[in-house]
Amino acid sequence: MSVLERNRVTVTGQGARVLLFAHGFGCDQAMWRQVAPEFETDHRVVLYDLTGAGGSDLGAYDFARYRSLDGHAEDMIEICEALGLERVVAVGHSVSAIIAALAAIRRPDLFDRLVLLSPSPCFMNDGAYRGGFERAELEGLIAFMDENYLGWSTQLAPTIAGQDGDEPGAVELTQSFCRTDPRIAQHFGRVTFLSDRRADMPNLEVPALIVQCADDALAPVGVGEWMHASIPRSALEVVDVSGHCPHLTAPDVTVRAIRAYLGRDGS
Amino acid sequence: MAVTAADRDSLPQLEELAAELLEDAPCGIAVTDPDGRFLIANRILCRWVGRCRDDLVEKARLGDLLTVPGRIFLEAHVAPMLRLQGFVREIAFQLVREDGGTRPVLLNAVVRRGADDRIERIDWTLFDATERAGYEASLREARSEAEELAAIVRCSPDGVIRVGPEGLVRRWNRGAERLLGLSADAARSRQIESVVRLSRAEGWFAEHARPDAVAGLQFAAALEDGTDLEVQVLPVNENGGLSDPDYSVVLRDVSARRSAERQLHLIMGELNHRVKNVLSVVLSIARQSLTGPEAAEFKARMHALSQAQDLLIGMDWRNIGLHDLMELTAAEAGGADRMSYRGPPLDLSPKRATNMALALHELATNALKYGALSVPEGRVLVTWEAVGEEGGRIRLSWIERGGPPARPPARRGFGTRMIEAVFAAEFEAEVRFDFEEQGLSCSFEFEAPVD
Repeated sequence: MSVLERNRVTVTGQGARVLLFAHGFGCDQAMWRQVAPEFETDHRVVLYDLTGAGGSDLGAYDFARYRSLDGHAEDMIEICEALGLERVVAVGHSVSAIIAALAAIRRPDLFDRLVLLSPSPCFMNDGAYRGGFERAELEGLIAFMDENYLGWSTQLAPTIAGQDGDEPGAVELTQSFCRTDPRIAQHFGRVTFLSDRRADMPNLEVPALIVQCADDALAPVGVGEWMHASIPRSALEVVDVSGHCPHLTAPDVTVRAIRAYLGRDGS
Repeated sequence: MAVTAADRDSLPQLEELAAELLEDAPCGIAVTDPDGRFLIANRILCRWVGRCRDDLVEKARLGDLLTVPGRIFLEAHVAPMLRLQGFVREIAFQLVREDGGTRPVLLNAVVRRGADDRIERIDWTLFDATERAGYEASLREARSEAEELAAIVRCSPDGVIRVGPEGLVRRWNRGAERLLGLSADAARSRQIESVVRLSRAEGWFAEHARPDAVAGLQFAAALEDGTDLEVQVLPVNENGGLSDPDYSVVLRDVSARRSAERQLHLIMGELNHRVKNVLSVVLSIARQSLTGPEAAEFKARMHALSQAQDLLIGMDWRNIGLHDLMELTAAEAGGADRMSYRGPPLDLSPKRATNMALALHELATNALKYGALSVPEGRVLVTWEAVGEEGGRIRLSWIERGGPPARPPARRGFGTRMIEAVFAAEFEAEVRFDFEEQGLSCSFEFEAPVD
């Protein structure tokens, strides 16, 4: 199976510049559906599912390869190479913002600049650094996900055919978004929330825009500020948005922020 | 009968009914803005979290009522799902009461959009899942127990096979695939003896597959390619004997162990050979160096030692029965007519056996020269028996009768000294010699060997 099939890579739009979107934990490339199309008129737009998420090849989820975010960073590099991409603008959300940074540290030649949406290099509190959570709370997430074992697994999703018009398309809408194998979800959850990649951030030489939501329960403003202070060629934009997913809750704000950054000189 | 206006008035109006239902429906109901901030929270929900309505509406968010992992899950997984598909169903959360206690709930939500397709509000219903949570927890526990145990079988280097009562393969682990070079699919439903072909063991499955077989019974076998195996066949008794049981067949590759044993055996043979060589060299040196009676005595002692060695070699240097040693001594004494012995079976360690053989040789030699065996009608009787508390000690007696009166030796010879030394050192026993008119009695007690 090719890299493009493994990660269900889709390429749309036209333009000299390439935008590569990488989704975060708990969902898949559908997360970008209100943002990515906005760029198709003047950009090549590349979407993909992280290995182990959405429509990726679950059989390719090698628990050893993906025990750290480096495996996912390798995937991103492989996708750029498979498509022959250059001067890529990678837009990563949450954990994928860190994945994009790790990929750009390894292969700065492939990337023009990065957009880091609600990034967090470490969700754990550590001394003066406030990631937002205590380790025990994050460990609790793993047990929590086990309790929602039934909720993750597509085959056990309740069938809701024959209900009212609020849920059109009835049968196919059996919570089909953001689902994956529960064991993979749990493994990726552990890797996402227990990783600490703060030490890597100062090594990022590619310019990066950090988009920080003003009211984010998962990545507090202090984390965005830490990122800005640690990444040499970074800009920070705090947007007045609630939640951790600005590309879903405020797609227009997100599109504007990205466009404004792309309009700047690459220096 | 016509319905009067008065009758209609006595029914609650739809609005009233809806309001009543909202408050007292057997589930938590809430309406929030798109960011999860409460607009409405019903009485049940307020009671479940132990907070009054004014604390929630326009002040708190749904995530504030959840455990921290729940809050993360809500943000990272549920919120995107709500935006993308407009609803979520039956997600398990724990509500946190103000006093810190928790209540498991199942959460459903529907997104309501306005005419411009913007999200206006989110409607949430929460169902108490206390009993269901307990039941699911035991299901999860059972699942992880089964998975963890199954992983052991999967990863075992042993071939682990489940066979139906009629002898057909049902399951076949990776260990069996490796050992027998046959995939599980290829082996399934075939006769076990046609896929596990043990050499010279025709009908092995039928022979060992017994519903009442117990653990600990293995048999050695070999595959046709020469792989040495240890095989165990046990019934899988899961239905209390209601029907014929399946069987587990466990094949353990013991080729490495067998080969090590063969190697050890080879080394032992070589070692025995050398020990005997050394003894014959010592004997020939003695023959050339010693003259007179000492030479004969020395040779006899070496002979006794050599015989004890032979016994040990024959037993692969394992324990030796006292009866076997007595047989050697009786032969030395002139046969069963001259010396008899009786006592319970008793095993001696190689070291003790060697020393006992030397001591018995000295006693026999002494009897032949000066004691009961020096005259035709004299006899020796050796007995041993368990004595002491719980039979933890053995008393051994050597009694000579029918010979000349026994006299203490004028000087303590090598024989006596050796007997005393041997018994003292190896058996921690004191030897008692009684020189009587009827003949010599010698006895000693020692700790019985522990099995």
